[in-house]
Formats: sequence, C-alpha cells, structure tokens
Amino acid sequence: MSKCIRFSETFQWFIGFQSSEEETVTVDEFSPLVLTLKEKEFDQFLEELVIDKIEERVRLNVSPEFWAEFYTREDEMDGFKRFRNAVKKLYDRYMHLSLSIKKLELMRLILNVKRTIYGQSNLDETLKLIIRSTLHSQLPIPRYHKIIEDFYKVSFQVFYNSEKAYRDFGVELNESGEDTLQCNGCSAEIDQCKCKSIIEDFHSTNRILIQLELLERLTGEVVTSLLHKQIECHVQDTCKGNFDISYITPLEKWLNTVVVGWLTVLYDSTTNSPLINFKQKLQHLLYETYTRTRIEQLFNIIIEYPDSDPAIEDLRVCLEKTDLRGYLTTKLQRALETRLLHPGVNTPDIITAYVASIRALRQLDPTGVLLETVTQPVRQYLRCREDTMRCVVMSLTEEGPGELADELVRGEEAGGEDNPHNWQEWTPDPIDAHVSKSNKDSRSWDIISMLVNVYGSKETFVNEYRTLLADRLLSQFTYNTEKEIRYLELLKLRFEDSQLHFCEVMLKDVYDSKRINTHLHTDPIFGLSEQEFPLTAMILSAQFWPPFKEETLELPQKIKEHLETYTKAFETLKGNRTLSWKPHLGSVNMDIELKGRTLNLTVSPIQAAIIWYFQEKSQWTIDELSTLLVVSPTVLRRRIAFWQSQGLLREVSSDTFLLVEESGGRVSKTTAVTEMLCEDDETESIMASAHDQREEELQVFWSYIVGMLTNLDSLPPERIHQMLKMFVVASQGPSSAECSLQQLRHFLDRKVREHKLLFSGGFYRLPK
Amino acid sequence: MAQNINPYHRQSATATPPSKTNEESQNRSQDNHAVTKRLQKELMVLMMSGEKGVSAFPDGENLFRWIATIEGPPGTVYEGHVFRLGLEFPHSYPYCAPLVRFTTPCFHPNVDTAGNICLDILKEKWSALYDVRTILLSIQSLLGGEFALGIYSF
Repeated sequence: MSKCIRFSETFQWFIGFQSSEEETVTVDEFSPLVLTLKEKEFDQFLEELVIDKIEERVRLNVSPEFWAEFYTREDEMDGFKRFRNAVKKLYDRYMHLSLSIKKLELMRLILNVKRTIYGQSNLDETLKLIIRSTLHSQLPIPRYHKIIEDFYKVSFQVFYNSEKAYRDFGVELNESGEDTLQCNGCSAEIDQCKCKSIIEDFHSTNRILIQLELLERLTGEVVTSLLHKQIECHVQDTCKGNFDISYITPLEKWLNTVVVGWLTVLYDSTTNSPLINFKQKLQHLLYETYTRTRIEQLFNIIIEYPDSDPAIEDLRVCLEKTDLRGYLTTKLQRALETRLLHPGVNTPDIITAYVASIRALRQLDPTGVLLETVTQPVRQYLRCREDTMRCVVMSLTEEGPGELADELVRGEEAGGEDNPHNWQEWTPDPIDAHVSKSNKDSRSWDIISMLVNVYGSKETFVNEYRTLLADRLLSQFTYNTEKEIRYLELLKLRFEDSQLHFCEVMLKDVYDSKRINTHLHTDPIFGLSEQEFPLTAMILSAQFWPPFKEETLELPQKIKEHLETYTKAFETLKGNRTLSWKPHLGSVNMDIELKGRTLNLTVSPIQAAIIWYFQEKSQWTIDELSTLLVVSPTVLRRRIAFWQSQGLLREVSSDTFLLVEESGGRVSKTTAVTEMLCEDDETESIMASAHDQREEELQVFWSYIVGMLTNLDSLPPERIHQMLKMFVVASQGPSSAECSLQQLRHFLDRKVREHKLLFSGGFYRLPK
Repeated sequence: MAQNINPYHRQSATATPPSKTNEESQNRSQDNHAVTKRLQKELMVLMMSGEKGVSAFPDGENLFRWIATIEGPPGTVYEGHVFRLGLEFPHSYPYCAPLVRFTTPCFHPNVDTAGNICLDILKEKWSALYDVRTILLSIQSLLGGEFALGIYSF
C-alpha cells in the first residue's frame, strides 16, 4: 500500500508540470529513490508512464494550441504575428516538457540505461520526435500554408527592401517621394517601421524551428514556392518593356545577394549542403523565368531589333541553359500569327517585321533552324498576299534610308558554307531541326534572297520588278535612268543576267529614245522643228515590256497630225520600222489661257484632250465627248473631275459641263482636293497588274479545261493538272506561269461555286 | 498538191530500204517531234478559238489519239444530240488525213454502222492545210446536209 503511494508520488514528481521550477532535487536525494525503483523493477514502467503522459499532453494541448493559430488570418502582418506566436508558444511548451525529460535522463544516467524509445537513445530527441509527429498527425490541410507563407513573405520583403536600400544607398539617399511615408519593407508608416522587430522575430522563430528540427518539414515547400513567386515577380518587374540592356548579370547578382542571402539567414545554423543544391535550382529557375519572360516579349523585341540587341543576346545565352526552344517556337509563331498575319496589317509592315525577325533570329540561332521553323507561316502568308512582291521590290529600290536597299547594296554574304578548314568546329543541327531540310544551303542568310524565296522562284520577283520598272519609267517621263541602271546592276549580282535581260532592254529603250528625240529635233530634214509644239516620244520595244493596261483614246486631229509627222521622221531615220502609238500613255505640258489668267499644267493625254475640245465650244455633254474620244463615260467622268477640281469646268446640268472662264473663289478651297486627286491619278499603275496577268493565264487554263471535260467527260483534279502541264505549258512555252495542283484545285473550286463546273466523287465535270 | 506529199515518204521510196534503217528511225523521231508540235499548236488554236458546237482533246497522254465532240447543228434532226468521235493521227500527219470515226451511233447516209465517215476531205481531197477544227466543222455541216452528196456505199 505504502509502496503504491510512494510510486504515485514519484510519478507526480516526474510529471510535475506545475511545481517543477521550485523543486531543486539534488542527485544525492534522487539517486536512492531511483535505486529503490530499480530494485522493485519499476524504473522502466515509470519511464513508459511518463512518456505516455507527455504524448498525451502534446496530443491534447500542445499541438491543437499550435495549429489553432492557423485557422484565422486577417492580413499578411497578422499572419506573420500568428505564426511567430505559435512557434513561440510551441517552444515554451517544449521547454516545459523537456524538464520532465531531463529528470528521466538523470534517472537513466544514474542507472546507466541505454534503452531506446522510438529508435532514439537520447530522450530529448524522443521528445522532439513526439512533437513533430503529433503536429504532423494534426496538420490542418490546406490552411497552414497561408500563414507560413505570410510569415516568410513579410520577412522576405523586409530583407529584400533592406538589401535594395543598401544597394541604392550609394546612388541616392532619398529614393523617391513615396518612401518617406511608408516603409517598403513592412508597409507600415516610416516612423513606426517594424522592420527591425520583424527581422528579430524572424531570426528567433527560425532558431526555434531549427532546434525542433521543424524548419525543413514545416516550411521547405512554402519557402520554395515563395521564392519561385518572388523570382518571377522580380524578373518581370525588372525587365518589363526594356530591351536595350542585358539583364543576366544584374539578375544573377540579385539572386546571389538577396535570395541566397535570405536563405543563408534562414538556414544559418544548419549545414550548408542543402543550400548549395538549393542555389543551383534557384539559378536554373531564374534563367527559366527570365527566358520565359523574354519569349513572351519576343515579338516586340524582334520589332525593335537593332535596338533590342542585348535582349536577344540574353535570350541566346539563356536558351543554351534551358530547354525552351520548343516553347519559343510555338510562342513566337503564335505571336506572329495574332499580331502580324491578318488582313489588318499592311504588307510593307509584315515585310518589315519579317526582315527584323530574320535578323534577330539569325543572331539568336546561327544555325538558322529556328528561323526556318518560326517564319514558315509568315512566308506562307506572304505568298497569298498579292502585293508582296511589289512591296519588296519597292522597298528594295526606293530612295532614302530603306533597310532593304542597304541590304541590296551590301551584297550577298559569302559565309554560311561549310569551310573545310574549320571542320573541327562543326556541330550537329539542333534537335528541332527539320529532318528533310538538312542541307544547309537552303538556310540562306541573305535577307534579299529570303524575301525573294517567299515565292519560291526568282522569276516572279523579276517579273514584278519589270512591271515596277516599267511603271516608274513611264510615269516619270524623264530620260534619266542612272539610278535605275544602278539598281539593275545591283540586282544582276543576285539574279542571273538572262532574267534581267528584259529590264536591260527597257532601260536601253529609254536611253535610245532620248538619243532619237534629240536627233530628230536637231536635224531640220525631219521638219519637226516647224511644228506648233514640240513632241518627244518614248520608243519602247514591245517584246520586252510588260503588257500595258489597254485603254482607248482618240486624240484630236491636230495632235494626231503631229504624231504622224513624228512617225514619218522616225521611219525616215530607221528604215523598215514604224511606230505604233499608245495615245493614253504620256504627259502633256500645257498653258491654258483664260480670261485674265494663264495656267500651266502637266496632265495626262486624256485630260489634255478633254480640255482641248472645250476650245471649240464651251459646253459638252459626257456622251458627246465619249464618242469623240472613244473613252467610256465612267473613265471620262473621272478625268473631268480633275478639271472640275481645278475650277475650269463646271457641271451645269447632269452630264453637261461648261468651261469656267473667270476664276471664282472656289479654286483656293479646292486645292487640297486637287492635290489629292492628282496624287490618286499618279499612283494608279499603267501596267496591267500582276493580278490581271494571272487572270489571263488562268483563262487559258480554263479554255483547256473546258475542252478537256467536254471530250473526256469527267476527270479527277490530278489528271487535269497533269494534262494541263502536258499540253498548256508545252504549247505556251516555259514563260507561262506554272500552276500548282493546289492552285488548280482552288481555281476549279471557284468555278464550281460559279456553277461552271460540277464536282462529285473526286471528279470534275461540266454541267449539262 | 505539193503540200500533200510527205518528204519522208518520197525519200524512203527512192532509197534502198535496208541501208537506210538507221537514218529512217532518226527521221521518224524527228518527224514525230514535228507532228507533236503541230498537234500541240492545233490544240491550242482549238482551245483558244472558243468554237461553239465542236471540241476535241487528246485522249490521255497520247497526243496522236483525240476524242472529239460535235453538237448536232441547230435546225436539223440532229439538234440537241451530242456525238462523240475518235480521231487517230498517223505519224505522217498532216500529209495524211487522220482517221475519223463516230463512236456514238449516228444515223446518217454518209456514216456506216461502224461509224466510218464518207467525207471527201478525209479521203482524196485531204490537204495539209486542214486541221482538227476544220475537220470537225466539216463533219458538223455534213450532219446539216450540206455535203450529203456521195452516199456511203455499204
């Protein structure tokens, strides 16, 4: 009985939570008791009882108390405080419990027991284990993350800010106006800045957690995700919309000083080994985040290319360290598609962007694989724009600082070929290279040839150039061809002479015309000098010029006589040859004498002819003029509009025009309109457009297709294509444009829509 | 009718056949080339002329065998009918007339049950100046009754 009481007392003493501090038990008092226990073989039993009691305490009080803090939270600061308090309370409890543990330890020391509890021979470790496992068993998923995150976020902000302030300190003492009111670190007013206390709390909390070996378990995940977020934020903040600075070094420095610095503080007393590992991971993460950010901005970077060179360089370095090429390709392609390849963008803009991307990607990936894959849709899209070639040719030859013109002058780059001398530097293609296009020749670096290759053939390009050249030569009506000759020479460096032969002849025509004109005018035999007005001609070799837009125009008799004289003179000079005039092409410089004023204008022949007839009588109807000039009323009306805008003609009643002799006040008002109208006239091409030419070719195909289907009933598109290739191309010569199966299908389907063809079961046939 | 004489035939008639075989085949291929060119050109003319009522096109890849379509001339009993013909060009074309026969049955005094046509320009009155277009137009007018003179001897 008495033994029993004694045991109960001993147990109470061991557990002794309340009065533990006042008690001072010396080893001398203690050891006999322990020895008695040993004697009765109660020691182990007692130990188990005590541990059991502790476990119960932890389970019922400590752990719920700790987690209770995690259930509510107002804001970050609140979360920070809650976590700090929870950890502090936990530590107090731990200290409390460890008193009992110490007594047990003492007993074990005296008895020299080496028994292990939960695999731990040290009882203090056992206590920690109990706390850890109990905490884990009561983990309030998923709330607990939030509070911990708050805690570390706040502390990181403070740290980040202090680091920044430290960095900025040298540069500027008072950063900006806002800072005077609020502390960046703790978002409190500056005179109540809690940064210091926060850092202290942070340190103490971390120390406790490290001591309890809870740090990694409780916070590892949270800290990692927090750091990821912070890195992303920082990268995005730093390099938003700024492409002309390289950010790799500053970012790495930031990572090393701020992030790693913070981690060092966090883990200061633990071993450094996880830190190194962690650092590498973070570095990779930094690169990846940065690369992603840059890729998101890549389209803008490309547009600003020569200025955004550092950004491209950064990206190049980063791409080597990360595995994001595929991501880049898809992202950039999508960006190009959404921002560039839709009807709202002008062709010149697309071409500018294309050129910029060629340049930028060339630097990004010298092998050209990226360029090849990324710009594929752009090329495809440009191919279906009708004015692509025209724009390319125009920007090639236009005056002023055109990028393409510079490129043309620069000449073709010699590089790109495999040099046998540095074969040791050969590297295989990147992994995303297109297998079928393994030959390096196709990946040309030359921007001009890349543009020309949009169409796949140089012929289209040369044809377009020819049209443009013709246009320019005929619209300017000057005999100055030096500039054109220079461009032609430059183009000849890139294209075969034979392709540009036509253009050469055209330029020579202009030059010859000038010579012939001077000759005819200076020599009195030809009688040109006796004419009322001087007439010069542009003599073109019809064979070599692109087809003109056909327009009819009957010139007034007097002018025709002049032309006649000129023709005679020409025939005398060049036996066996004559001239066939294109009356609608040309320019007329004329003085118009009206009551009290004289106008000097340079206009087109049709406009001149219209005003000519107003010499005879001052009022004409559209129909009368139309029959005289052999011009359709619609065209005529447009031309008359020019004279109306000049204030010379007035529409008195519908379709009837009257010459206005006296100048009215209207003239000044309409000058703006005049300019606009004149400009409109000038930009109109006199050449048959490429589109018209193509239509004509397709018309030829259509006649053949009709013939084919009339006699052979129904045919699949492949067979039609084959037959066309056999019979049309063979008979029309190689100059006739080729027609791909794809284009043919397109054309046939159009005819089906127009109800000119029927399509069923893969066969086309004519409707009955 | 000088243009009706094929220079190749005259040459082979005067020369001794065995010694000239090599040259002959060479001649033939050259000839073939000329014939192909001529037929190509005829096809182009025919296609571009947009002739109503008659049409022809090579049957497959062989340029020497064409299929033609003739619509019955309006105002005749043949109006509304469409006739198919086969044209076979000899290698000596255009010095020899092509072989033309109806593939759709045609009831006409100048056409036999096999589709053979009795038309002078396809026989003794053939001239190298004729081409596919004129042949087809002649046959069309034959249906119209203009040439229905010599009744085909069955």
